[in-house]
Amino acid sequence: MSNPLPTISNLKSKIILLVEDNPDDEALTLRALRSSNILNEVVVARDGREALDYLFGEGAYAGRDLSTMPEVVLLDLKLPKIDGLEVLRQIRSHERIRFMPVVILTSSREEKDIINSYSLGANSYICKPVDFIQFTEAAKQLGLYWLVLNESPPVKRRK
Amino acid sequence: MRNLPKSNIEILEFIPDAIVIVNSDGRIILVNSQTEKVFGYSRDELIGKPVEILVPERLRDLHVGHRQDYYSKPCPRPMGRCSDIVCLRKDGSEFPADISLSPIETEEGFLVISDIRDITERKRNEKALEDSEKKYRDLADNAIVGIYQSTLKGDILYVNDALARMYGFESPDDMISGGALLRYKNPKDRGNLMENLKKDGKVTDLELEMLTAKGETKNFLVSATLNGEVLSGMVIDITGRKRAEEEIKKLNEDLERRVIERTNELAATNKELEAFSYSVSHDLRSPLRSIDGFSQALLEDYMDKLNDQGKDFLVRIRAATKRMTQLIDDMLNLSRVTRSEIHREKVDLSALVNAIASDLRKIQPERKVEFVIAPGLVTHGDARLLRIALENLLGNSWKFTGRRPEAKIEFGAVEQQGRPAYFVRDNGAGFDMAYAGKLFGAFQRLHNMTEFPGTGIGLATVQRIIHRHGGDVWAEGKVEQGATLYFTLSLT
Repeated sequence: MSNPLPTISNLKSKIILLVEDNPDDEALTLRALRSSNILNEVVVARDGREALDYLFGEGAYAGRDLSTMPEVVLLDLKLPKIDGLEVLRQIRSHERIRFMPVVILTSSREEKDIINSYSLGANSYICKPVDFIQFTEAAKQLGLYWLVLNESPPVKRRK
Repeated sequence: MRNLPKSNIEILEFIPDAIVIVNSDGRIILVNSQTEKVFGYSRDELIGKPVEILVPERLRDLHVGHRQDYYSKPCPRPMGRCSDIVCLRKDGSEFPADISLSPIETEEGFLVISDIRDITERKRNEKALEDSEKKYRDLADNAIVGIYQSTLKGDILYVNDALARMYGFESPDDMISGGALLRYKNPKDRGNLMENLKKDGKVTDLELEMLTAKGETKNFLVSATLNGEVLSGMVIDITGRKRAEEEIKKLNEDLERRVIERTNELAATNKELEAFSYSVSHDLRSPLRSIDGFSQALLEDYMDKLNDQGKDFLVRIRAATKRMTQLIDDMLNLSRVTRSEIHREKVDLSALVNAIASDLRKIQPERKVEFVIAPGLVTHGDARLLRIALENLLGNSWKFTGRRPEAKIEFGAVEQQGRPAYFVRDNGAGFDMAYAGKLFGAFQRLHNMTEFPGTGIGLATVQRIIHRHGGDVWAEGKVEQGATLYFTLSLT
């Protein structure tokens, strides 16, 4: 019999990778998550390069224990150095992490961005609302869904 | 068959010309019957008279002089030597004549036999021929088109003024002395021309490039016929026409090139505009989010440290950011409406209005609004854009009937000059017709922000969409008695 409800212990160990270059948006996203009672560890990558370094254990994150992977990636599209779509493309083309849930979290509502994101395999596309109360509500729903309700893909162990 | 007449003198009777024999005194001693006939005198009236009786009075002295010159050096003089001889008849009439003179020595002395021939007929014929020739010569000489005659070899037999001038010569004489007629720019053309002439006996409307005396190239239209060894032709100078044709061709190519350039420029501009508005809206939303977010954070975290005024300030800040967000969205929509391509298809307006009405009801289920939608109103247009237009119109009606307990929104069509004019009518707040001109201006509002929210772009967007469909949009309203928005669409 599978355990339907997550225990506090394994709920807390779930990591969120937030890829966001705007410090205001970073602060507000964290605030929104917190006020929705989502207290998980949030790793923040401030550009595409950092995000990939974290996921592949390179650069600033060289030597990281790669058995610990984020439960979900909240990915902004407009990022310096390597942009969001490229990060998505890389995630989806690497055997170890290609099933990782990626939620595009961006201010763009442009059709071509939505199409490109889904084409490259994004699981979800959320438009960051300007209204903060709405934003908080969205963050709460996001957190509850991807961290609690959703069954995440297992992480392949390194042989 | 008769016998020859008995005397030489009798022979004279059979000569068809008038024979007059004159002695050394100038007196007539013998005439024949033809003389009687021609001059109208009887023989007896002439014998013994001075020959000057047959000459017009004004010429008699001259004639005497001539006679005496002749007597001094008499010699046979055949006809055709003198050209202006005039004779006088008995009845006073005159006629032109040709005369031959033959001197003889006889027993009676020195005599002159003159053979007089009435050349009135001949002169008349000559004149007729001359006139005819003149007529045709004038025709050719003065023709506006060039006319020429040449041998097969190319030697000029005749050119008219027009042709000479076409070739850059002062006169036909200059041209004839100037060299061969046909100065082809492409020598092969001559061969072609000759071949056609030999084959068909003529060429019609052949376009040739020729060189003038000064070496300029001109374009000539040539038609010619071959009659034995003689070529007769007509030439029209079409250099002007050819140049004009070339100009037009060049202008057309130019125009086409420029159209392509402009289209490319336009496409590029559109792309830039798209990128611009995309990035602008994206980049404008970010700081708005920050403003709103941190205002809210302030409200939440420092609630106890803020008095009512402080809280009010923050609420206003948040309201303002909300408005700005809406503005950005509206502007983005408006620019997209302008730039997007129109795809025309059949659009069921009634169905669209029904769909939008049900959406509005879902967003605000608490509101009691009656919709009266005319069924089956179908037209041709861009479905997406027409939907946006109707959303704006119905959204407006929904908004402005917000204060009516019994709100009613109608959609239908009236006939206007043979075309349907669709309308959306409501019984809401209406507007003062005095401001009707401002209704469709971008960012123009006729109501206070606190009465009814809005950015003032909705109707500007509607107008842009309708105009892009080739139609018109206008409004009628009365304050507190509702408004009706009409629009037409062109069918092409």
